[in-house]
Amino acid sequence: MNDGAAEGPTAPLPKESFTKRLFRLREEPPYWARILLGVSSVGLVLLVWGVLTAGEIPEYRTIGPLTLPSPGETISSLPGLFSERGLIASISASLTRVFLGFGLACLLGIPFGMLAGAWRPFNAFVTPLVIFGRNIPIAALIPLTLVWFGIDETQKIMFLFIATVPFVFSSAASAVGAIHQRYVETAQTLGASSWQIFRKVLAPLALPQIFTDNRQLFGLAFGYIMLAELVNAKRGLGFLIQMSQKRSQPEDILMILVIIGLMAWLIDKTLAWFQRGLFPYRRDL
Amino acid sequence: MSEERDPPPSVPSEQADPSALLAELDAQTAEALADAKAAAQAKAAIASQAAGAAPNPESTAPASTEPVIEGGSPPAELAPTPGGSPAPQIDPPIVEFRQVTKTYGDGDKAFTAIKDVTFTIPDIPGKGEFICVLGPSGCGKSTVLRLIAGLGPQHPPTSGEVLVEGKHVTGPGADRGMVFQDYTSFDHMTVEDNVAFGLACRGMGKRERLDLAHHWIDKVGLSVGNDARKYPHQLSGGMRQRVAIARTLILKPRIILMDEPFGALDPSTRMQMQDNLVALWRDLEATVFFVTHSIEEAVYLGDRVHILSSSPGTILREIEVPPPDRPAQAMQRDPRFLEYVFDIRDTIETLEASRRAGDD
Repeated sequence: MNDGAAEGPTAPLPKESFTKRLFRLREEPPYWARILLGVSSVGLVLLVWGVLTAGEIPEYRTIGPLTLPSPGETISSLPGLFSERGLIASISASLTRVFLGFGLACLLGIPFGMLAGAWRPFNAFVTPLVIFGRNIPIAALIPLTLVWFGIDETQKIMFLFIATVPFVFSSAASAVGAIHQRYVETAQTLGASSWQIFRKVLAPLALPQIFTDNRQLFGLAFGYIMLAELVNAKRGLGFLIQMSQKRSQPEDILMILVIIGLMAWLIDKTLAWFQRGLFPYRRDL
Repeated sequence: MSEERDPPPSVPSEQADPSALLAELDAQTAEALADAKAAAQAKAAIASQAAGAAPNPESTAPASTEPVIEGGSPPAELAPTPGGSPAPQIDPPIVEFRQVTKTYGDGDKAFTAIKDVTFTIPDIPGKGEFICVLGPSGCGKSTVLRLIAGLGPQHPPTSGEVLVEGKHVTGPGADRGMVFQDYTSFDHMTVEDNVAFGLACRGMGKRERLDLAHHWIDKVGLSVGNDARKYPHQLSGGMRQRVAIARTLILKPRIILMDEPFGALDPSTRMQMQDNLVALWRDLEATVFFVTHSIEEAVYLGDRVHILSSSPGTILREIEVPPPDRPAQAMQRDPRFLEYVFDIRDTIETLEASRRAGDD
């Protein structure tokens, strides 16, 4: 459009400044800008962290090393975590528990949730339990599951299951409930039975949303498992954190938190990649 | 064609001269006739409700054998005449509304969407009728359509009867296909699977139904090679609407219900779609109910135009219009076509004005 203006007497439109373009309402910045912004936020935290913990002599630091170790000290705890503390075994123990507990919640919560979304009387029947389940204080679940399931793996898996299944259920129910009625009506006038509509229309249309919800719930489950591992665990990231606290090694705790963050990010990216492959009809994912 | 739709809708009337219908379709005549029909319907509806019996022979239209049957058949179903008339053997009308009213809520909050809607669409063997339903927004056009489809919350009606082929509508079914204006395609299915959806529900094998789907994808003007494997989000609005039409027509429904299907399309796409629909419908022998608020569209596509008033909706008039004999672009420029359009526009305005005056 600016080309045309060059021929005529009118002056070319003034070019919009870069910052103005960058901050246009709801406009996604270019890829490199997104990466740069993300890196700089992490960089800023590291910088503040570094400045607050700078200095060789602990007494001269703004924050003492027992409260907050420096980034360098945190990184240097990594080899020890691997060799002496069995980091890999703990990571796999925690992940196994999450996959089993949260997996079980998905296995039961998603199908039943979808059925409840499609057949509302069922939903009305289950809703009080779900509301109760979602609002149970998570800390209270630990002693209760200890009473019910003992102190071994079963307790940790069941704790995760009970803590997450109400969320999984209601996410599935509301995803099916949110599908526009027009799809149901269209299928009905094409002769589909209720079960066919559920199977061929409602369920596949709701699955992308359910998948997105459960990607987030996975993060919740990953956080919860640390809690369960505070009691009678021989391995696991929560156990490792607790032991580090008892040995007053805050740099280990920080390192483990960084590792957890990286793992969660990696897992989410993997799930997102699967999601795009599974649902090619949703270009917005 | 006009001979076939000769019998007046619900009950014959003394005023309606069927030969007028045979004559060249003239707006004035059609209007006068529609007037007569409306009056006759109202009368007959009251009469049949009161007596619950066949109308008296005097009300039978002269110079025609059909109206006797037509007039006799629907009430005969309710209360068979003691004489044992041959009426029950005759095909019942494809769609019949008897004093249909739909009210939502009750007390002060009650809202009447349609009131005392009565009409009959005769079953014309080998050819259906194309009926356009015109009216202002929110006048209950969609209510009429959804009652035929059996879709809630419009279905069931508060009072009155909705009959399809002589049977009460109990719920939706593939014999009454419906095309909506929006959310028209199953986003998770490719075009071919969308089109074959109804066949898959019937249990038809994959090969067979995809072959049929390809045939219909071609028929509605899409390309099998390019479009069959695409997902709806890769198509334009007009193309998605073609998919929806193919998906409905592939099941060969007796009745096709279209709720402003082209309402969201640009004018030129709209005309292409109209032409395509006319061509497809000619092969189908189906009765089409086409809801629109475009008078041009109604006059172009329809054999008959039903004009609905706004809240509560009631059929104000039925007007016969010439069938589409040329492409939309050409026909909709014809002065005679425009004559119809202006005439209907005036009719709607007059009717609305007089109704408002009458209400006060």
